[in-house]
Amino acid sequence: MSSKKKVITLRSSDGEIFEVEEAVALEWLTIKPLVESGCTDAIPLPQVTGNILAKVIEYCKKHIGASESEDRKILYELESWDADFIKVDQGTLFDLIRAADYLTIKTLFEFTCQTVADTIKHKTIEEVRHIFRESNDFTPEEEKEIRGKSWWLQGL
Amino acid sequence: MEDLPHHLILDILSRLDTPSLARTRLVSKTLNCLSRQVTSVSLHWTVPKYLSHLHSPRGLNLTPFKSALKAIVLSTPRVQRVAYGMDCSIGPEGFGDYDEAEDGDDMYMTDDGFVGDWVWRVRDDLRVLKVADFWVQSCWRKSEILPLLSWSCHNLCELELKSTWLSVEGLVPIPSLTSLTLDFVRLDDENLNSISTCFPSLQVLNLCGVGGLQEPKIELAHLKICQCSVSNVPQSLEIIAPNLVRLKLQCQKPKCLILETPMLSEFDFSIVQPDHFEVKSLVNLRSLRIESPLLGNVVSCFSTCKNVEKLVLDARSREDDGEALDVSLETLFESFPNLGSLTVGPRAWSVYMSSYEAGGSEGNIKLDCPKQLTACIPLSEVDKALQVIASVLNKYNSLSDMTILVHLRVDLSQLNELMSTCTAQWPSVRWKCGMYKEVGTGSATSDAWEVAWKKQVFRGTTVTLLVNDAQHPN
Repeated sequence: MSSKKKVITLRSSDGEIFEVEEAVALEWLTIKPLVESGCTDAIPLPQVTGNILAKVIEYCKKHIGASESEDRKILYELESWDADFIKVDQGTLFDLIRAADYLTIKTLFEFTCQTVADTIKHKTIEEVRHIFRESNDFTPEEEKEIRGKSWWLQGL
Repeated sequence: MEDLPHHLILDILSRLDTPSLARTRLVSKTLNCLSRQVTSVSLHWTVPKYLSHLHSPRGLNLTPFKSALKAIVLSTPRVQRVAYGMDCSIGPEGFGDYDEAEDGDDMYMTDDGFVGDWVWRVRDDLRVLKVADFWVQSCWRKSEILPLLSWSCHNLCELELKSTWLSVEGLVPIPSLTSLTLDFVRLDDENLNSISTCFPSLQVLNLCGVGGLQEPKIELAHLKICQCSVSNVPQSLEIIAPNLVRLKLQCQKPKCLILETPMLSEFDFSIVQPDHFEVKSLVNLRSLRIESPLLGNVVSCFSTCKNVEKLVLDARSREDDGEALDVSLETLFESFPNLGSLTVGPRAWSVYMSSYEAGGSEGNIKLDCPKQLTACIPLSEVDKALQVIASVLNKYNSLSDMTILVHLRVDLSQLNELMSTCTAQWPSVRWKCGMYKEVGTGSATSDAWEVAWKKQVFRGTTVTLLVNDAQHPN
């Protein structure tokens, strides 16, 4: 067997070409069947832009193998690497979630969704509106009714 | 940036605890609507919050916990997952004065009357239930929650109960249950008969600090992962699980310990007195950790497990005298011919390795040994360490990877000195060095430790530390 690692070519929505190791691509369940079938052409990913795909690849390369490590030191380093990786603007974070969902990358999906959930916990309602780009479309009566339904929230 | 599609927002909302989720309802109509589709409930109080609620009725005007939980569950459609209770990691001694709380049942979470009040409403949908009780109120009465769930919830897959006293009277089978965790629980099922018969599909079983057992026998055909810490009391322990792959077992001095687990591949085994322990044909065992005051005796029990590749040895302080077998590298490498990596914990190092001397003339013979050796050298042994390392390496020259971990309190310059001698004297070995620290497990007799930091070292270089290295979190 050749010792050279097999490389998979990917094409982003804006036409950028990326090369990743086969082992990385196999973690992306959406394209896994294509990779396994021995496809040699560039795999088109029409829903992911080049800059997001670059981030996704960066994350997966770092995590392959390392997540299962039992060495606490390695896991700790990975954790602080993750913390730096996720310091991105809201738009990029949502793009990463959508890419992880589209490509079915479980680890990245878990991590990005959990990051947003953890953020929301400590935000005011107004700030959450900003995050999801929603606006307050309740009438005062409707708002009062919703508050009434959550009476048990008192003091929490 | 485009907006997130609704199924992704829903996924994010499902990760929120229920109070946070309730707040997001006020964000907009869209989020309000989506939040109604979340099928999990999660409500926890902490001890300080409860106490301030208890002591200052005017200060924190909280809705009583149980009323709040019931209201949430009843107003959530198709609830699949319910997690609630008291968030506390410390045992009952750590709490202080609870005179006022003791007699009450306002935080008695596994109260069957209370659970029965809402569980009927979710019985068809409920898949996961996790309850952490408040020991102060739950320890003095038996809860019928297990039988109650067995009659009502036919689709329950995962159950976790903490800090309570459980009755099994009237328990009927729940074939859907695949994962059961009992943590700090008193269980009125002394031989685990009811658990084995009524939860036949269990794949995961965690029994941590479970009291009330006499001669527990775990007999589960589908069990894959099992964790079991048994106190002093049980006379014997029997695990019959043809599909068990991973086992963590902590026990004291069982009169009889039987494992019929032919598929076992990872075994973490802590035992005080291994007198009556026999292992039968664990041919699939690859990874083994032993923690015992009588390491040699335990190792000899595993003499038929020839396929072990990874071995960790941790000694414990001896409590009484008994015949202790010695454990030497020779016997270890003979017992486990396929060993690839050996880790010697700090106490094991001082008990068994500090006096290690290589046999005189064997120096040039290439002896079979693993490739990797990790040694944890305690404070008191650092001065002698080089001598021991030299004896080992002179005898076992196929060792290719050595990791030397010293105690966190050892001076870095001392470690550097040791490593510069090692890398100069044995340049063909790949060296790593680092520090370990003790980790508290609550039990005074345990010698648990973990790596604080670890680095590769090369000849002629010194190790310097980054701020992060020393402040490694748990």
